[in-house]
Parts: sequence; structure tokens; C-alpha cells
Amino acid sequence: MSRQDGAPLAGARRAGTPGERAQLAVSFAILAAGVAAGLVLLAAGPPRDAAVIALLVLAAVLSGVQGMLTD
Amino acid sequence: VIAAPPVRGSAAGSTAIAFSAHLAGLVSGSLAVAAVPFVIGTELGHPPRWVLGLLAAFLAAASARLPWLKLRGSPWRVPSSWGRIGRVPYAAMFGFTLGTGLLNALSSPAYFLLLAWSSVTGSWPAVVVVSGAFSLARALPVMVTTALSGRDDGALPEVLRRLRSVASYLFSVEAIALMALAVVWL
Repeated sequence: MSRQDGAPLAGARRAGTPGERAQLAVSFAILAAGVAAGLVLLAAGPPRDAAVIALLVLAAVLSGVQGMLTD
Repeated sequence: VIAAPPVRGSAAGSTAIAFSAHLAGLVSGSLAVAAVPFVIGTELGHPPRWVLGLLAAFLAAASARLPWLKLRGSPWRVPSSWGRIGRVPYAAMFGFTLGTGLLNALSSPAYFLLLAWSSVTGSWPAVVVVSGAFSLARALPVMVTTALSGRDDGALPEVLRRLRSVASYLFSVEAIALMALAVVWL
């Protein structure tokens, strides 16, 4: 099938719209920031239990608030 | 904004009683659900931490809104007809269902990690702290809307708009926290 048939290229279909690509880039940047934060935590050395609890409390607060505001 | 029980009464004391009942319901619902994986983990053995790490990484990806990862909560909602049981019991019951985090709309992907972590940690006080934080966070918007609902200066819609605006960015902070936990556990 040629471009003249009006069908988009397979690669273009996979890549999505510019908005979707931008969202994907933001998502991966957020995940990369999380990896960096985890590595900093590991580099800081033990004791990590308090830091883990603090992150869990943060996740719990964010989860609770988001659930009430974004439904 | 998720529907919340009408805790505001005709007097300040009445409002405080209904809100306290709602808060008690939230805390007990949250603890009741967290106790299940905690007991399972304690009795049957704790899952290895790398399993928790893998789950945290997956949930971080879902929280970061990768387009092919969408988690859905229960479609069930507290029926408004339950309001017939009375304002205070209704507030408590409503709080309990919200506190479970599973009976109605999913709070966020991080909630699943909190439950899974309850099965890994051997510390019940730590579970109480984390579940308590979840409960208080769920009570916060109800507290704000209740405090503002008696005013007729139009402050409530504006406050809700601002809260929703802030909430739309919280997912990224949550994803960072989850991914950091994944790195620590893997």
C-alpha cells in the first residue's frame, strides 16, 4: 500500500498524536525522576526503614486526597 | 469531586459529631482492609521484597499515566437511600466504605501498594500509621467542604476548583514516590 492510498504509515500510527507523544515523554520523565530519587535513597545508606515509611505515608496521603478530588 | 456525606448539622456540636463518626468510619474501614494482608503475611509468611518492588514499579507506571496502563476501581457508590438511617450513622457508614479504598472508586494506584506492603511488613504500628495517613487524607476534603458549605460567599466552588487543580498534579509526585520505593526494594 502506498502513501497515496491515504493510509497513515505504520510507524506514524504507533507513535500516536503529538499530544500522546508529549504525554508519553512526561510519563517517562516522571518515572526517571522516581528512579533518581530511589538511587539517592540507596546512596544515602541505611537506615532506610524510616525513609520507606515516610514514602509510604506520602503515597497514602496522596492516594487519599486524589481519590476524593479526582473521581 | 467524589460525593461526600452531608456531615453539617444545624449546630456546631452536631456537625462535629457527624464528622467524628465519618472519621471513625474512615479509620476503621482502612484498618479493617489493611489487617487482611497483614494477617495473611504474618500467618503464611511474608512475600519477598522484590515482589513488592515489581508491584511498585508497575503501579508507578500506572500512576505516571502511561497510556496503556489504566486501573479501574469498583463502579459501586454509596446509595443515597442509605441516608434514611440517620445523618450520623450514614456519615459513619459512608466513611467506612471510603476507608476500605476498595468498595467504591479507586483512590489511586498507590493504594494497592499500601495493601501489598501490609503483607510484607511485620509491624502492625507501621500499618496503623500508613492507614491512618490514608484515612486522614480522605477526611481532609470533607472537612474543607463542610467548613465552607455554610458560607454563602461563593468560596466553596473556588476552593474546590483550586483543590482539583492541585490534585491533577499530585499523580506525578505519587509516581515518583512509588518508583523510588521500587528502586529501594528491587
